[in-house]
Formats: sequence, C-alpha cells, structure tokens
Amino acid sequence: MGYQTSVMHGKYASLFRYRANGFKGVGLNDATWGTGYSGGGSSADFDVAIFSTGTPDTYKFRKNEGAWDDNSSSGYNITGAAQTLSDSQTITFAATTGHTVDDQWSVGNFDTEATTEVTTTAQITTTTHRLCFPKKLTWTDSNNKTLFYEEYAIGKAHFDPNGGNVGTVTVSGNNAYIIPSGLDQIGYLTGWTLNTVLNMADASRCGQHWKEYIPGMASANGTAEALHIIADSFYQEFYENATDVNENVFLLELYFYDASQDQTGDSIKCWVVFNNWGLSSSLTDVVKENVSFNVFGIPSLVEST
Amino acid sequence: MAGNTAVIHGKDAVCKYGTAGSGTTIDYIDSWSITTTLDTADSSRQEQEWKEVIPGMASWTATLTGHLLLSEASQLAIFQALIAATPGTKLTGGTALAFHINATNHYSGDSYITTFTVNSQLGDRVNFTIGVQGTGVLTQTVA
Repeated sequence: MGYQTSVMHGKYASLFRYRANGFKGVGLNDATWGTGYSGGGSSADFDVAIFSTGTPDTYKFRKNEGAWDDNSSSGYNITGAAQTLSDSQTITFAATTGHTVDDQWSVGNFDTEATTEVTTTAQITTTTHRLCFPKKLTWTDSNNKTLFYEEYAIGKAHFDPNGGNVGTVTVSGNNAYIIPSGLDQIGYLTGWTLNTVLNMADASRCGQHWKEYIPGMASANGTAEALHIIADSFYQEFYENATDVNENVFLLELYFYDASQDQTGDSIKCWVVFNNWGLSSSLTDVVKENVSFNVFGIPSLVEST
Repeated sequence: MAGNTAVIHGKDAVCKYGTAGSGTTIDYIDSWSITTTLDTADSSRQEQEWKEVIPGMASWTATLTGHLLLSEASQLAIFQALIAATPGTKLTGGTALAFHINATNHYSGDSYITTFTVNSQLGDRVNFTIGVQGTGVLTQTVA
C-alpha cells in the first residue's frame, strides 16, 4: 500500500504491544505456554480465550485463527495442569478461577516456515508471521550461508553480504512468533517518541583541516505517555524487566498513522526493554503515566498495509 | 564576492538531497540549522594579560526538523541512512545534503545521519528531528 502521502496528525497514532505470554485483556494473566509443539512440518499459531467463569473457569481455543473450538459450547475446564490443545501444544493456567471472559493468550510456532529470498536476505513470506521473538529462530539455508543479522520484528534474516546469495531458506522455532492480533493496544495513549542515535569515532589526523568521522554502533530509545488505567498500564512490563532473572524483551508497534486503530498504518516495530516508568497526579489534571525504553537491536520500519 | 544582498526569509530556504547544486528539495522540512566549530589550542604564556589561541581543526553539524512523511523519497533515504542493518551510510556525491539559502547559494559537505527522532503526540502533527555530523569540509557555494 505504501507510506502515507499526506501530513499525519498525532491523534491518529497508536501503540500496540506484546504482553507476557501473548496476553490481551484486563483480568488475571497467569497462563504459560508449553514449548513442545510438534507440527510435522507445518507452522501453527494458537489463541486461547476464557469462555466462562465458574468453578472452574473454562476456555476455548483456535488454531491458525480458524474457528473457535469451545467444546460444543461448554468450554474446556481449566485444571491448573498442562492442557493439550493440539499438535502437542499445551497451555497451563496457574489458577482455575479468577479469570475474565474474553481475555486471551496467543503463541506461534515455526516448523520449516517458508521465506522469500532476495540475494543475501530472507524474509518470512506470510506477513502475519513476521513478529518474531529474539533468539528463538533457527534459520536454515540450502546454500549454507552464514547468518549475519536478524531483524526480529519483521522476520527478516541478513546473511553474509560478501558470501554469495542464499538458496532456499526456512525458519523453525517453538514459541517463536506472535500474530498481530495477539498484540494489545494501549487504549489511552497520548503520544510516543522514538530516538535513534549513531555513535561516531573521530578519524581526524595531522595534516587535515577539517575533522573526519567513521560510523560506530547505532542504538534507539523512546518514550510513551498515556492516561493511567491500571489494566492498560506498562507497569507490569517494567516490573518484569526490573525483577525477572530471565532476559525479558517486549515488542512494540509504534504507529505514526493508524486512523482506524487496527494496526494497518505506517509503523516502527521494535523489541524493547523498559528502563523507566512514572506516574503523575495533580490537582488540575488526570493521572498520567510515562514509560521509557531502550530498543533491543534494530527498529524496523514497516509501511502501511 | 556574489551572494545575496538582501535579507532572506527562512521560508525561502530549503534543504536538498542529491548532488550539491542540483539535488531534490526535501519536502516537508520546516527548519534547518548548521553549526561550524573551530577547535582552538591555548597558546597563552606567562607575562601576558590576554589569552591567545591558535586554530586547530574545524567540524560541522546540522539539524533538520519537519513533518514526517516517509512516502517522500528523500526523507525515507535519510531515515534509512541511519536505521539499517549496517547503520551509518555516508551521504556524499549523489546522496549528499545541501543547505540552500536560495536557489544558487548553499552549504554542503559529506555527512552522516547521527540522530533521527520521531515525535507523535495527541495535539500535533507527527514530527521528526534529524541530527547530521559532517565529515570533512563544509563548502560554501556562492553564485
């Protein structure tokens, strides 16, 4: 579709984010995904949603965004143990009650997923499979070229630029991607910024009059501001970054222009680590929150679809 | 020496991308600035009252601000000079920046894009700010 061709007002911006275990909702987030998916050569993504509340709560699920399986309108009882959906994909809820109807979790698994190769790069062909997790992808090239760099947020691999063209490239990895509909929109966003920086090294030397520089490493960081709604807050992501011993990164889709607020505008997609979170309240204004983040790797620009 | 003999309004200044003197105007820019700096070494000595300096090396930087519109090819090219798998594409030759005060008088040189900030807020258009680091001489072209 291409980038926007007219000046964009910030009121059309939006921000979508990945929450732990692909959660979308307002209630208890206590589900974890199993890593034992076995697709027999086919990738698959799963959504699980709370179907009803009771003793216990029940869920429904679907595969590859197909029809929901709600166990003939009864829902599947939540047991608290690992429960198999299909193809050895399991989900485990820590509690059997206390969930909220329609809250949802999503996960995606690659099994020899096809890519589109262009000289020394390969990008996952299916556009809804391109939001990939860092360090969970295994790329296989029939020409055995050396992997140089991965753009996780757009499912793209760069191979050795001096090593010749790649052949047929596939990618595998369990719990390795999230479908776009599995991201949660920040509902009370008031703005965001993204700043990219390139470090330079001074290459000036005697005999010159004007300084010269050579490029070093690049980095990016940013901020987001919103009206404070606890269920919508960034606080939990910041808390996990601060306290979890595992390396936690979170995906953000920063839309410059998303008039219909449905993830179809120009955007920058990036994996981030939250490094600052704040809350402000005053006599004359609503309670607001702000968060800042460092980008993990490269931010990726994606034109509207 | 030629050059403008009347005050120039900033609305008539542009920044161009391409071969200096014949590049394409980068659309949706609303301001630019250039800063040149000459390092100096202190050559002061005892028995003087006033410091003296001797010139060292010069350098230059620039900034541009505007409305973000990545369908504008020059804006996109500048964005991608920084945000790429291998960041830090030198802007030179046919991909250089030239800062024009009018149609024929401009300042140009090789450079790198060292910062690119996008700002999207509820009450305003989506804006960008670009930071430029010159590498080598800043040339003044006067017609």
